[in-house]
Amino acid sequence: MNAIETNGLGKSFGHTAVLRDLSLRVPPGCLFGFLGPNGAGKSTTIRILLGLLRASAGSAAIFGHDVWQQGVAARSGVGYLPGDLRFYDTLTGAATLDFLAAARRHPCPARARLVERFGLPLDRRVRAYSSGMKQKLGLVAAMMHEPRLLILDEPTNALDPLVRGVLYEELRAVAAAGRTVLFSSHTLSEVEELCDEVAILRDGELVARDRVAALRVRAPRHVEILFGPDGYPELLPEGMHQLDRRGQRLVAAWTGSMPDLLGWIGRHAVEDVTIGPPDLSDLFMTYYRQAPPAEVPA
Amino acid sequence: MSSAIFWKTARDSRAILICGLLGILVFETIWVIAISNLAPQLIQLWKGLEFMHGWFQALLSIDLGGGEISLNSFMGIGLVHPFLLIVSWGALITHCTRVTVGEVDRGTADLLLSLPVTRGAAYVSTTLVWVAAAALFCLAALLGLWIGGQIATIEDPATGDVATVASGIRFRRLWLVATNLYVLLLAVGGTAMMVSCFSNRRPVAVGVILAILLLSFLINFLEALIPEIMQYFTFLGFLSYYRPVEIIRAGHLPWGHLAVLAAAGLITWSIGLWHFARKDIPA
Repeated sequence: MNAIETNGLGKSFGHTAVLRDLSLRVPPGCLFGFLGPNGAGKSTTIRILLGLLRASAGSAAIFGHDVWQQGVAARSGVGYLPGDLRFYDTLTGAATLDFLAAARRHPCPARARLVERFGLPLDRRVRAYSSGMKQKLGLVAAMMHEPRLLILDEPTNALDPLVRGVLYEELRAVAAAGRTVLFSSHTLSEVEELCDEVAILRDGELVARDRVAALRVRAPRHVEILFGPDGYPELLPEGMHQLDRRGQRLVAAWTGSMPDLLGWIGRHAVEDVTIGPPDLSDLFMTYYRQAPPAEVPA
Repeated sequence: MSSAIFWKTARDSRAILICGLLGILVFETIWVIAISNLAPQLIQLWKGLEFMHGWFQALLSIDLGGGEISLNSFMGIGLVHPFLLIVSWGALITHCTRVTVGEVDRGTADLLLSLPVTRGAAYVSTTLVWVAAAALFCLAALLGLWIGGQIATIEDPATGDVATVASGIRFRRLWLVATNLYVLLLAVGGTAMMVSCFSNRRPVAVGVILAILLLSFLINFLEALIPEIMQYFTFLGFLSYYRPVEIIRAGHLPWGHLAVLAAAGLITWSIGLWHFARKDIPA
């Protein structure tokens, strides 16, 4: 059973469609990246999954429970960190966690450990917390009951690099324990570093979904080639996109195979060549900017 | 019903509830003491100023009926005095706009409603707090009258005997008034919950509820001054169904008024629940 499954999910506000025909499956035990620029529909999808918004079309389920018709069952195994995190200012950190635990009616075996790992002072009122501390409190609140599905919307906001590292470790441990993480972000590097699979949304539509390793194969490489005198080619091969030309120096993105690239270079008078590693951010930016030429994998 | 939300809501509202309860208690106590000192003169004044009855009725938002006014009638006025209504209604409005529209407005709704609790349970949990608070307001008012009655004394003009005011108060009838007051507060609370569910901005919700309640006062005010016109509109005002002096005089509950208030409260509360269970919670 999938941790998350949506079929033809859509959401409109008045005549404005913000999410269209989203069909997505997130398998259990997966660190799933949910990428897209601002306004792509990531938060709308998450809010539908949590029953905060009602879908205009299609359906969504968490571990087989319809998120609207069986909302309590669907949310009972979920930990959620909102993107725009707000707490009750008059409560202390401890009282906030106590309240959330009592409302969930679920033991919180990881609370003490997470509080210690994130270095969170619980005795202060939330209004005295810095934004980083509030984010840590939100993370502890989302993770302390060891949910089967963790939904994190921009979780690294306001976190310093050290705490970010702690969070990454914790999320890897969550996935290793067979639990699922939906990690929504517009920061490409952290999704690339952390996630097994990724879905990319743009303008309310799913434009790509694949394993990060598979995307990396398709990702363009940054190539710089210095041709000899009169050696600059009139035509570039298919898969090469010129980014810049400075005299005899070509700066390009390569999306084909490595043997093809090396074979083409070998047929020209080349004085120097630099081939960079696959750059996922370039691929993501391609998806962000325009509809991809390839089909969306199922 | 979620006990966690119930207790959190009660804790959030406790300061304003305690202040409201103490305010009502002290006000009613002082009211009895003040009235006991002034009652004979006020009764004489009342008899001599018939042309002022309509104005008194408008200013105090009660229908004195133009008949005899007694010590018990003054106690009834204490249960419909604008101070009591403003404090109790203000506390109800503050509370009823805290959990639904207040949560949305300050952005904590995401935290609350993403918990494995139905929206209906959250709505009912917060409702139970103000339903209990409304009962406490009524009890505080009665307690204040009782305490004032124990402290204040009044002289019998015929015999010259001095006795506590409490000995002359018909508390059973005041209980009837308090019952009517309680159902009035339920109607106000139900309306406040409904308005709270239809708005995403707390100041807007509070403004709308205040407008409804001020309209209710206005209808009552104008009814005393221009009854021939207002007779067609009085059914719209909450205070048209809360007439303490009439209850004290009649000695029984106005079941028709109670039914109207209870129905208004239940219907508005149910509409609020229905809408809250379906509405999109904005980010």
